[in-house]
Amino acid sequence: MTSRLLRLAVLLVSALVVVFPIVWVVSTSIKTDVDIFSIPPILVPKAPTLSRYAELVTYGLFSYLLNSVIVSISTALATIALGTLAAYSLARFRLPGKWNARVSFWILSTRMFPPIITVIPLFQLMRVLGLVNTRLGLVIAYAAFNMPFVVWMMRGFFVEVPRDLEEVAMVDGCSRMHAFLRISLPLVVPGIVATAIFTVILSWQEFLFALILTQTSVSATLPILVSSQVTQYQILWGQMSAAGTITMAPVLVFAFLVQRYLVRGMSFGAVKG
Amino acid sequence: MDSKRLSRWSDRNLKYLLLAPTIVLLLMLTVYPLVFALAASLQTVSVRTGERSFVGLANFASIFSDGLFWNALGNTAVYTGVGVSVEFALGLAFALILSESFLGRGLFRTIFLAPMMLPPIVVAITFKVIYMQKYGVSNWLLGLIGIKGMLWESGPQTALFSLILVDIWEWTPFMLLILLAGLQSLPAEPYEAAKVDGASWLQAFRHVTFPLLTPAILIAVLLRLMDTLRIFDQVFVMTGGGPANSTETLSLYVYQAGFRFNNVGYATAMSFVLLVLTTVVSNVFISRLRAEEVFTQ
Amino acid sequence: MRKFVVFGCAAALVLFASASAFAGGSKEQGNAAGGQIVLATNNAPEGNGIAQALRQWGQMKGIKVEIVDAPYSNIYEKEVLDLSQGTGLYDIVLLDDPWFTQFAENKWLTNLTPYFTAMGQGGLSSDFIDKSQAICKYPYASGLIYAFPAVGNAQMFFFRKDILAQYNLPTGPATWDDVYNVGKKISDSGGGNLYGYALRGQQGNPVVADFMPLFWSFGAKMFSDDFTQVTLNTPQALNAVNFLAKLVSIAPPGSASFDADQLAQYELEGNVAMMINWPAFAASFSDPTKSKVVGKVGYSAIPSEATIGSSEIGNWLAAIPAAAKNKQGAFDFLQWATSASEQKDMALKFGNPPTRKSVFADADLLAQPQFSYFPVLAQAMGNSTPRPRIANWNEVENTFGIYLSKVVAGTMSPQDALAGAQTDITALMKKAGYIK
Repeated sequence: MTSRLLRLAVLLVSALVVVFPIVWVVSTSIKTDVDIFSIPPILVPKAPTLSRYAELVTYGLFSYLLNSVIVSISTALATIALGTLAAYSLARFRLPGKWNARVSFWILSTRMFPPIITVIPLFQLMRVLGLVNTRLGLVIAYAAFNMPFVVWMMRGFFVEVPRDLEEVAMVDGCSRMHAFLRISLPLVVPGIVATAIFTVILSWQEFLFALILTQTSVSATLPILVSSQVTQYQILWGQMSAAGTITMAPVLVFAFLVQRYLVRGMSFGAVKG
Repeated sequence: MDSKRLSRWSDRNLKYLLLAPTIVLLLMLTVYPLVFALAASLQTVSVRTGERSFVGLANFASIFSDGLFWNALGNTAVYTGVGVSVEFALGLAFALILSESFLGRGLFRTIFLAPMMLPPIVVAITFKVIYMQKYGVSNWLLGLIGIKGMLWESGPQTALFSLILVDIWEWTPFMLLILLAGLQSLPAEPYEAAKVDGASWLQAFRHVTFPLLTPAILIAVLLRLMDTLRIFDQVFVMTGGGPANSTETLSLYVYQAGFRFNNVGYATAMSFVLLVLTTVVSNVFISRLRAEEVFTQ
Repeated sequence: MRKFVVFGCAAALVLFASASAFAGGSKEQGNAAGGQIVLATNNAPEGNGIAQALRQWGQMKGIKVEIVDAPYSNIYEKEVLDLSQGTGLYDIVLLDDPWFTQFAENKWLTNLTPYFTAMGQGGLSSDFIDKSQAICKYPYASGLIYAFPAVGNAQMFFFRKDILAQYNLPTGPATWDDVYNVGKKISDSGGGNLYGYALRGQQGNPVVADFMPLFWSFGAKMFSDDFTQVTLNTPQALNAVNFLAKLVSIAPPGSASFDADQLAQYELEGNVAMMINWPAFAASFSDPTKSKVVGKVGYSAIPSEATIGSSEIGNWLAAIPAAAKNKQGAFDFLQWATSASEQKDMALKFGNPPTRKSVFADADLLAQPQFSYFPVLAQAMGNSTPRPRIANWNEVENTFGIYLSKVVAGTMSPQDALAGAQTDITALMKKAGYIK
């Protein structure tokens, strides 16, 4: 009993620490300027205002939102499609020599180089391909950027699927691809969902590539809108918080809805790789 | 029959066919920039005329005598070391609590995952307000228990740790999620055996949970390590590397050298050092993973 | 079972293709045709004013215009990326004055003199404030014209009229000694709620921009006129840095991470009596929904000390990239957008300070309280000092900023900081070839 109470106390206190800055952002987005800096702090403003959101709408909020939705979902689809195949190959087949380990490590290592250095050549490449200021350009960049994570997660899930299941099917006359599609793939669907959610979150938040590869609201995403509220001299607190709230809210609601599925998906087959 | 032969051929080469698209994409989007960067690191560009000249390894050589580089390296090491260890400890503790079943577990799980959904720039700026000397909530709260005038991100001794605190707040959830997933999938049998042997909770944790959880731990720590080693946004927004250079990290310095000072050659040379460093650190974890038989077929 | 193989191998492509269909946006368009003009600008009021003017111009002339904007801290990267690669994406770039020397020296900008000549004009209108014209030329003041002065800006001294009146300084302090002496009294009796002076101490550009006016007032200079010598080892420089350390002692704690926005917060809440800051905040001080000090903030020139006080000029310049595709169209637009009537319009709509003497003297504008600082700003710009006109200023500023930050944070003595800065900046100037 005491241990349960202790657990509850620990959870409540930490939840407070976790929630406070988030509530702070949301409440700042509906405060008037005078209330933002008052001490003691005001959590629920007496005269809440939605004017910040209205200002963002005139700034083109909906096109940023639409770009973000399209880019992150397309990225997740593309990355999962390619990454799952690669992961299956690495998990199931033996490449000559030590190439399984080498390829896996190489894929992971593409995530290690500081992105700030790769943006210049990436920008040139996208220009040559005519993809600057397009959502497609962003999707391709994000697919590459998320690939290591996806391959490593999915690889772990496939390793956990007993090979016997596929072998039995193949004895029955299935081809390898058939076995993959009919036997292994359905088993890792929760893992796929979980990984896809992660990919959505990571591309939803990405700032640097978006900054360099997009030019106007035709393709720019929400993080660009957020940082636009920090001008040379002034920080537009209300608008920035409103933009932050809008960026956070959809993912948060989404995470709440799929939370159970997310953890179960991740847990399928222990996150071993 | 043609289709049969094709089918057999593709079955034989399936492993390559499946890998090919990913590898092509990564080659195009990461290896090409890398080659470009390697070429840049061997050149120097005049800030005045934009003229390029080949300088061989001179950029790499000057890293060793650059005090700013070593300072940034030190800060990055502290940031990564302290940040990732605390995130791991907290993440594991909360994963253990949240893997038990009790009322409201789903709600707590969602709450604890929330911080990583906010855009990093919002987190950085919000914490800058929370830390503010006079108008910040943190000092107001500390004032309630009698501590006054904490300097947070504006004190040369406290700045780095104030930034680490923000990192912990935002990214412990990542650790938590992966460890929680790892815990959820542990088989039940070893625990039952341990129970029969009369093992205490602590013994069960040490001899059963921890060893079984190791692969998940390694992956979680590895991914966080790679990301903190190139930490940029928070530092850029909150302190600009100050006060007194106490929070300048390697990737901030790389950014300044490359973009602000137009010293692309030197910036890329430093990036390669950072890459080697990350690879060495990661390899420690990856060889452990290999020992955990993740790489066996 | 071939269909499965085909399906498997093509799954990626199919999904990728469908994703792409979803993900279409507009492709980058060639801007040579139809006289299209593409503007790159920051998305603060300064940039929004020009952007709005361009939209209006596009309607008037029936040409297509496109505006590429980015936050202030990132527009520099975007512009450098385009300029250094010579991609010619933009026809006009709006740039902050400190970047100008680098852009011009690297031959990234179009020499505008021939365009003026073709129109029968000698150059920029003499209505532009002289100092604003000077920073548009490379070399400084005497060279060819590479930009239009689009938005005026220079630091001013902000003070609380009501508080300083109690200390017999109703029009603001005349010297830095006054600032310290009165400031100390105010801080000592303020009980942590009122400080005499606040300063921007954040490492990098903020601390340097805040310090330079003080530095110049003490008769110090960073370089000899021809940039062949670093002159931070002079007694004047030491006096200035010593004085900075004194100011820190009366400033609010936490100065070491303050930027302009934090300073403005102290002003709005009525917690500080004096500071140096940019005119961008003036409008909010007179806005009762934000400010507790409506009508109480006065503006003056930078205080003097060894020499007459001078502020740092920070104009926004509009230039045409060397690789631009529609140079004549861009030039015609900029002529119009920097005209007196347009500058007045931008002041009214966006609060942007002008660069023309006639607009500073405009009676309609002066009648409004939010432009009460105009005479002081016109004077400040007329008497301003530009940042050193060197191409590697970003790196020099960064180095100097690290040492100043150490002084503000109290981890290094002024002597040691100056000695270190002298050595390091000399090395940078040698590397860039200014010092042989």
